[in-house]
Amino acid sequence: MKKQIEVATVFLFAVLFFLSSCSTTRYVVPIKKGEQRITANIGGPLIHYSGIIIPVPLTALGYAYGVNDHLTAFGNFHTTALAFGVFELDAGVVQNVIQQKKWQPGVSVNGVANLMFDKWKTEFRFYPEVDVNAYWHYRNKQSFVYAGVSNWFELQSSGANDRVQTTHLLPSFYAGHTFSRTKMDYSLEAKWIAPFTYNKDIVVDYVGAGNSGTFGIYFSLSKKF
Amino acid sequence: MKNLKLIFLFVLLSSCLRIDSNLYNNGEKITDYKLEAFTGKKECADLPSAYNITDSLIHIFTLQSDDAGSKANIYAIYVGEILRIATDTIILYCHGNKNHMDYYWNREKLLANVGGKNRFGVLMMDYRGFGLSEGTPNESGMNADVNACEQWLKDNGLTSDRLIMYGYSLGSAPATKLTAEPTVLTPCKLILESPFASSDVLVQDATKIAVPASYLTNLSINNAEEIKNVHQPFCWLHGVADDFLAIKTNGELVFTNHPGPIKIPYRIDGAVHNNVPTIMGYEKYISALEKFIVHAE
Repeated sequence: MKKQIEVATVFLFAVLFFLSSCSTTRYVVPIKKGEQRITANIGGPLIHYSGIIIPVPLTALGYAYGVNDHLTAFGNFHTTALAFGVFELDAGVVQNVIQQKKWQPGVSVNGVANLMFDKWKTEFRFYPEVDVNAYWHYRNKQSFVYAGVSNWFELQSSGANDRVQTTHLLPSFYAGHTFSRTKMDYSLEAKWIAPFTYNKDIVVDYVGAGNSGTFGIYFSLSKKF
Repeated sequence: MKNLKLIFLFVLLSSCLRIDSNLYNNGEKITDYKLEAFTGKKECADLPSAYNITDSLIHIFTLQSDDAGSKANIYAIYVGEILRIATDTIILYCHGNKNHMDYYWNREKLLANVGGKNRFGVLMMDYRGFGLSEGTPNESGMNADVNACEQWLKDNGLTSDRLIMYGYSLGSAPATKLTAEPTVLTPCKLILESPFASSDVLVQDATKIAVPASYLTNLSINNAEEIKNVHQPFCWLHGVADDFLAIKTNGELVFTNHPGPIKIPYRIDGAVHNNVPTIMGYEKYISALEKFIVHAE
């Protein structure tokens, strides 16, 4: 463990839940027109905990609606953040842009607005996000594997103590699998969050590649209506 | 839908998870202070025995600390002759967020060797909730505990012009606060080692985005602002390779914000968060402190 002065784990949990990756990629493939989904997410960035590495158990609840067969609108409500007195919500759409053709994967794009404010000082933050996904249905054409890149945009020009905010792009790479059944979908996803960001001189003991970013593991359940 | 709104509102208003208490890593339990005989992990573990202190100059005692009515008996260790507090220069050392005075005992010994063995008196305390001190750690309680130590020194004859305030890591918060806004004594000089800039910097360094600290904590610690009101001579030490509080975003900001005119930096190559004296070299470390305490005017 690199930290000689250890901050208790709850601190790490708390700090981490804002790091642009509180849940699996929302929707990779648009759902059918008129279809509805309720989704529960759990998982988060990997941290050192009592000598082992675990994912932070962050949680979110979501809803999605198929506007048409190529466009799905969705929203997620972040329950872990709420426990800290922070109302965190994301809302967005996923648009299919390239249909899958046999071995050629389909491509979709998500546009997401991440909104937060706290009850303590009513501080508000807005983070736009864009995801580009490639997916490939296999076997029964329901289940699929996917990979993509996501980016959060930091719009603040200054940060703590009036320092200049130099980080404005927070990309993540991810890959996952959605196992689709008649009434339920199950997704497991791995992420590499902030892969170009140095992670060794801060209070959080991230588990990244070398000195960069952090890995994350996420799981979601989605009920179809 | 109305019920849903009410439930949400209730949860939001009643939610109370905060990281404040988790900033204090006071989990290691002890039954008494063993100092030299302590076999657990110690700071400056390779400190030579030449720095040892004569038993008769080691005073372990309790003080009552009053944080706006929240009283706690806290433990402190004074190294030096108590009768000489009325004439000596005294270093008041505020330790970091981890462990207790047994862990920091070697540091107190080092400070008691600045300028020669026992030239300066040194007082260190365990904040409430640390070591054998009663209570639960919190920001205002920590300030009250340091104030209680100042009061004890004052009761034994110390005057402001002979008080040197020294804060390490978390201890930089009460050290800076009580130098900028003194209540019992006004320290004549301030030494900060590996300080953090503010709770906002702590959170934003970790998340890489400009989220406010209020999302996570009610701590109002802001050394980078407080230091603007410190006009006393200032000495700052920080490991260039600090792996916990980055020198660039924390110490450099605090140092820059000190208005001067006297401020002395020591950026220690190769040192991380908790080994500045070791990497610097013990003799060089105490020599630098002596130079600051005696000559920085």
